[in-house]
Amino acid sequence: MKALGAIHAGLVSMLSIVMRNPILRRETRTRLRGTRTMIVLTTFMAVMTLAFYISYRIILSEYRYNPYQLPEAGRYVFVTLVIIECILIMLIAPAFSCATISSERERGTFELLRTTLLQSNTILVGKLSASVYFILMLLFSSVPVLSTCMLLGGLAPQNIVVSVLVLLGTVFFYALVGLFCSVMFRKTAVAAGASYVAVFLINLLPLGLVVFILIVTQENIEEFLCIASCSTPITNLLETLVPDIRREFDREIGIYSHFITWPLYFIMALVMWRTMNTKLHRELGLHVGKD
Amino acid sequence: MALLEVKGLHRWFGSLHAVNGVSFEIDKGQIMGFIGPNGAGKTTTIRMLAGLLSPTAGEIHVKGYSVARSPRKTRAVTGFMPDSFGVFENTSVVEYLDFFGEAFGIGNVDRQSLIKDILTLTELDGLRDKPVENLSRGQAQRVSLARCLMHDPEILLLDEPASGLDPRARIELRELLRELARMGKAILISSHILTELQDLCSHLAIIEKGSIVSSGQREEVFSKAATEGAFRLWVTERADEAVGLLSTLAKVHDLENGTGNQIEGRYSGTLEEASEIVTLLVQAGFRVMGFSQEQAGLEDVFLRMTEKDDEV
Repeated sequence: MKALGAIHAGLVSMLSIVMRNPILRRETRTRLRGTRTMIVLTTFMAVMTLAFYISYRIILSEYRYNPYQLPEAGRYVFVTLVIIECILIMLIAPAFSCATISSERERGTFELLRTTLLQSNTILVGKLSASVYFILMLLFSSVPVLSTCMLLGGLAPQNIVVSVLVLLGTVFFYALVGLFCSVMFRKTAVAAGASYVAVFLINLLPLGLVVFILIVTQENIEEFLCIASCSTPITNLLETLVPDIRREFDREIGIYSHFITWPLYFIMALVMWRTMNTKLHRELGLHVGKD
Repeated sequence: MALLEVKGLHRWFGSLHAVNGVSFEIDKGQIMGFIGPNGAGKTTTIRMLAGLLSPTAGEIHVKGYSVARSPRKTRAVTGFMPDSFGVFENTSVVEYLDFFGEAFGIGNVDRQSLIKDILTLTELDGLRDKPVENLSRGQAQRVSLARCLMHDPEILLLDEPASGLDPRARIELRELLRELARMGKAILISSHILTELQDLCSHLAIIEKGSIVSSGQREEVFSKAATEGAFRLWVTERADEAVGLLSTLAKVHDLENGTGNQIEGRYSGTLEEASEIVTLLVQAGFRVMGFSQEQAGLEDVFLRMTEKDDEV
């Protein structure tokens, strides 16, 4: 109980630090006022609704003569929607964070930030949490559509929880990728391009390399194929929600794909955070200070 | 110890020596005009003072703290206003100021009362809810100055604050700066509009090609520069003869005999030394009805100082 209390106190204190971040408050306020937010939110919900409608019609048409298979149909509709949502997050999260620092440089406001007492950590936490906050808003907006799948049954609560956690991890990681590019590149256009290249490479490069080796050597390296596919959270979702894929992973590598994906993402996140924090710290002119 | 001390400041950009051994001091309540032509090194110097650019060599001390070694301490007492106004989208004037107050660690309650006072001081009360991106140039400059004042800095570094302002906005800004100096703030202001600085500044630093060509109290700089001035005198009669006599003085030139026995000319020397013109005429039996000297304006001083430097 004491440990739980300490965790609770730690979380509350962390949340309070984040909520008191001036960058987060300003970013959230200005973003929610812009027309861009409304357009993105509407488009996101429209895509999700359309995806639900199409997948529901296609999948139900295959199962409609067998009412006992309806739960399975429900699961596949859910899988389709969650994967579409995950891909959308991977595309939207960098788009929202890749301009956060570079646009400040372009508008001349970064100079003003440099004359304040803000620390590089405060700026980065503020910028990241503002982007995450906005994407979480998109995730919550899709809850009604996702809930509809549950009417058909076939989904265990733990599957839903794991899927939500995977989506949350995806939001944080890919928002961080965008932020990293925004710190490292001065121009927003370059940062945006670099973010999407990074998203593409993270998701497809390991798999592409293994497929290439597979074609060249003609050897049976399905085990490596499974490991390489763990570079994308889509694999986590498929493994969690589709029993056949779960069994395949169990047979080939013997562990859940989560145990490869998330430690890998965590290490990459740490490296990115450290690199951009050092760079920003230098840019703020605080690297030589003793006070 | 002066509030701001700059000693032997140098800054190189590749092979360009942008700032070359700049040194000066500013103390409480002083307004120093930092003048120089485009590319003279004004903005580079101000950016180094604000801690935005590292000097290649030299020392900057704010309240005794080194800008390089104690950036947080020096930032806490320095307000920097760049020549361009950086705006945040969808942000009102109050929110803009509130953000910067928070960025300087001012608590919420103090911040609100501070914003109210600063809006009154900068006459921005009527614009509190106006989006910053929709402000006119004059309003934006005042908001920018208000932002600088949010953490109650002791030193204000203002880079071209009057550029692009209409005459009314310039007068208002001048009055505001005088008020801030009366409040004990040390102000460094760079400008191209020299007539604006003439009456405003207590001190001057003239910079050209990265070097300070003259600095100190305004009168001191003026007196150093006033080595040549125009004069005008009136004699009761024989103006032609008086012109002939004056032309024998080596320091007098460009003599002209105007209408009504008026003589105009230029004198190379200090204002005090020019009295020998009248002495000579009186000793020669001329009756001098009037004598006037044109005091050099800041523009003349600037031109003279920079010309001298060109000759060197």
